[in-house]
Amino acid sequence: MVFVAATAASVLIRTAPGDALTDEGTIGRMPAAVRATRRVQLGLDLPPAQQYVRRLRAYSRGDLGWSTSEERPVNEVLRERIPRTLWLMSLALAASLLMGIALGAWQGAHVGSRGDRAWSFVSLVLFSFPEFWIAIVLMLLFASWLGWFPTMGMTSDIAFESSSMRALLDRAHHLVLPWLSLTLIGTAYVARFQRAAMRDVFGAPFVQTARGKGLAEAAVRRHALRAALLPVIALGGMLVPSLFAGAVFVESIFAWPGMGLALLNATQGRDYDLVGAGIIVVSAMTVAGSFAAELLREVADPRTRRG
Amino acid sequence: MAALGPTGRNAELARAPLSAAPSKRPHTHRALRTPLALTLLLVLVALAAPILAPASPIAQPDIVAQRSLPPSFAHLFGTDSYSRDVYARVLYGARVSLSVASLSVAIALLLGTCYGAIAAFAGGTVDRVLMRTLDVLLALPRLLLLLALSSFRDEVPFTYLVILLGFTGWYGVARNVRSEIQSQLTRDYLHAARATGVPRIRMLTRHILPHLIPVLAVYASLGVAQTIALEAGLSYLGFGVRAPNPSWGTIMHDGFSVVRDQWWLTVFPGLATLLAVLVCNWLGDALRDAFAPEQVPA
Amino acid sequence: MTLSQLRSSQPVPAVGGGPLLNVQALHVAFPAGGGAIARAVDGISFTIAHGETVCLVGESGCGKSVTALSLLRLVPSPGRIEAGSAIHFNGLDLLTLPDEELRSIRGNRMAMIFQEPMTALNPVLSVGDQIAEVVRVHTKASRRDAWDKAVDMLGQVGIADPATRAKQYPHELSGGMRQRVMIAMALVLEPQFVIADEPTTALDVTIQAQILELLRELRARTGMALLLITHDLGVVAEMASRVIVMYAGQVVEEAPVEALFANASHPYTEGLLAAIPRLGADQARLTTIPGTVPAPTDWPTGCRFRERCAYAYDRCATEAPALVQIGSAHRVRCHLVQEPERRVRREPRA
Repeated sequence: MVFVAATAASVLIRTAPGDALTDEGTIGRMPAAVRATRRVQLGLDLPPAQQYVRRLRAYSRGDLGWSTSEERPVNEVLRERIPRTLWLMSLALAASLLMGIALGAWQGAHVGSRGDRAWSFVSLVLFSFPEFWIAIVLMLLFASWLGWFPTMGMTSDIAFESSSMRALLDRAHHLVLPWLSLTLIGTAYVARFQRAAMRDVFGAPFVQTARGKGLAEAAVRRHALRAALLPVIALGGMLVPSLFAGAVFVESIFAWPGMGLALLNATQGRDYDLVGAGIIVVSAMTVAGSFAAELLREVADPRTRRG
Repeated sequence: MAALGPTGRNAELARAPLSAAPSKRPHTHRALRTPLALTLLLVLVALAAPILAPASPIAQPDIVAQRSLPPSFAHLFGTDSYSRDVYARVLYGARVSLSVASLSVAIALLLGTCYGAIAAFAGGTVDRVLMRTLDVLLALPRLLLLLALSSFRDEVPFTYLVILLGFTGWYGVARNVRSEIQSQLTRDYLHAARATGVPRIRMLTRHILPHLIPVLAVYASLGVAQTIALEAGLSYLGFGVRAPNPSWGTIMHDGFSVVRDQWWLTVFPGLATLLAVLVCNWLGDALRDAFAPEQVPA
Repeated sequence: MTLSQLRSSQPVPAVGGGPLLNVQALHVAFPAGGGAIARAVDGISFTIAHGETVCLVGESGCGKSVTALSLLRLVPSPGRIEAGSAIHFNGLDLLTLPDEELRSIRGNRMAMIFQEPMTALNPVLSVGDQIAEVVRVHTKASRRDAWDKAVDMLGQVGIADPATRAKQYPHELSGGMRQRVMIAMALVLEPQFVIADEPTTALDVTIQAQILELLRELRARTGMALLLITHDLGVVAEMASRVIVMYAGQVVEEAPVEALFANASHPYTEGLLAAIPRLGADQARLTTIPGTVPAPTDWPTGCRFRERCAYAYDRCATEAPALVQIGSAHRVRCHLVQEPERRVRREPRA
């Protein structure tokens, strides 16, 4: 339901301003005549209402339009780029959740200790880093100055001639810095949240009961963690939009050819079909993410489980 | 993620205290003193830019001899390719970045509070419709939208950016305000007030509004932090404020193509952004802790 | 046999001497902002014999819950038990016991039933699991056996259809049932000593009666000693063999239950008893004790009760009274014991 609504909304939003500027000012080098022909080809000379209807019809057929910035069908662009970005985002999400939960849980159980305060500060700082800047800093540090990692791209030129193992390693090598940029901030975010959840839970009476039963501290902490994990599960789904925003920046800095970079170029090049499709796709991802998170949470929490 | 979309941020901001009686005067909390002081310092630095920076941020004194100089005593942060003093640009940039962030957050708070209040007071179908719409709005990717909407203009004027940011950042506030008001509406003290004939307006201002202050205060600080970073990101990608003074992101944008050689063009403004965001986040955290309901000792 | 003897599940104290629990000079301090220290418990001493039921009575804020928590060393930080305190359980010094051994006592030989069963039970685990956990932690029982024991215990505390109930979660049970679960959890390993912290406060009156009946039954069956913390004198009348009255962190009166109700000596106890409304009594207003319990950071000099006491005189402000024996098992902390002629009613400075 929400997905359908989101799609409709995004189509609406994207078409409204999009139609207002049908003159592709950025392709100024085109001679006027060619431009006119192109316009007719792309159907941009039709009145806005008709364009809108055409587009809707195309969408229902699964045809998401033509990307003017890449000169190929939007579907093709998406098919090529989305998996890459999804890959990057999922790895970052998984790592952020794992490390963030571990860190936050430890902190929550040791609130006030020096370790807790130190990590809280570190988390706060990491959390405050603008995504693009942390990417720049990482790139300068590890790629330019230390030269440990490549500064751009997803693969090196040698990839085509190497064995699949080397190609895989090469890809991983290129993936590290973009992934790290996203993960550092993501971990800080999750850790902060988990710490707060854990702290709330640790103050709850049932923790005292657990101690009173003669459980060892480790077992008490496990009791607390089970209850504290619930809000964080829901959090995972909500990270999707922010991860995507981060991916846009990170991909642009590392010239990593994913969905984010494609959309960025599309907006700069006024490639409305691609932008529109992009909005739909990302909205869908967001909705799917939060839906999955809600579902997981409902299953995990016995209070909301049915029966 | 400093540049979180509204959905992601909701998690952080959703932890703003609900139904916390503002029983403690926040300024008596020692933990608040440092972040408050730092925030004031930040604002002061921005306002005092002309005093702190001897050079002018837009002057191009000697475009041949003084361009692209690394940091030195004469130019603390170096110069850019137009021989402009980066230190001055960063200081003046504080004004831009901070004002864009504060103004847009102010708009967002206003919009969100109204929306949330209407939903909470109207209840029933109106509430449901408003919330569903909100869900749809929340699903839309903020960054993409901002990029798309900014790409129509070659130059993004200040007001346009502020409005864009403000109009896309109010969703979380609306949700929280609605929850807070809803929880207050069911409280007994309001029934009591109604039973003694207190008019609704008075109920709103004297009874309910004080409970909104914690939510709004936390949201304001964390929101400003988030917006500073978001605006910096947008400007960095090229959709930022240019004239008369650039924001931090725009300075970094100028330096992007030569980031490896002229690192000072991206590192210093970025550092400034980090510090500003850090201070605001710190303040937001401290406010949230200060307003948190009391823990009852065993 | 006296009522207090009847109430002891072992009317004759166990041979081999020595009380089950011996608390001496217990002080528990909490930091109170700005460097000040608040002593929620300020020098309490008492003993509990095997099989005895002692009720600890007092208003909220008098330190009774903290006393109970200290027995199991569960005082939440930043509070701490101060040096000079001593707690001996069956001869063991609990305050110096290493953590491992303390753990093995908790839930096993000494157990606690907490207030507020809704929040005291883990919401994400079934009640059966939570009871079985106690068994598994302290014995070598298998999961199966521990579960069976849990179900059995649920039956013993009067829950119908225990096998099904054991799989349910706390939010699926009523308040009374949750309290029974807490009792089951505490008693499943038949501890020698059980502390019950306001076990009936959160329940309505009919359920209260059932819970108390349950406790009596279990007491008779297992011979356990019971420390029952409450502010309700009705519960005291029903359950106690001995009563300790606390005020502002100190013991102000200690007596066998009949002596307390017949012969209360401390003005505070008098006030508590007078406050109980009586059917048929010709009262225009209920009797109250004026004023409120002072905060631990704000105790008056001399006797801590003097600002609310109907009989306070000059000595009360300058000298703090000591606990004095007035009967075979009756102790009172009040100057009036030595100067009974001063027992003149005056307007309290509330």
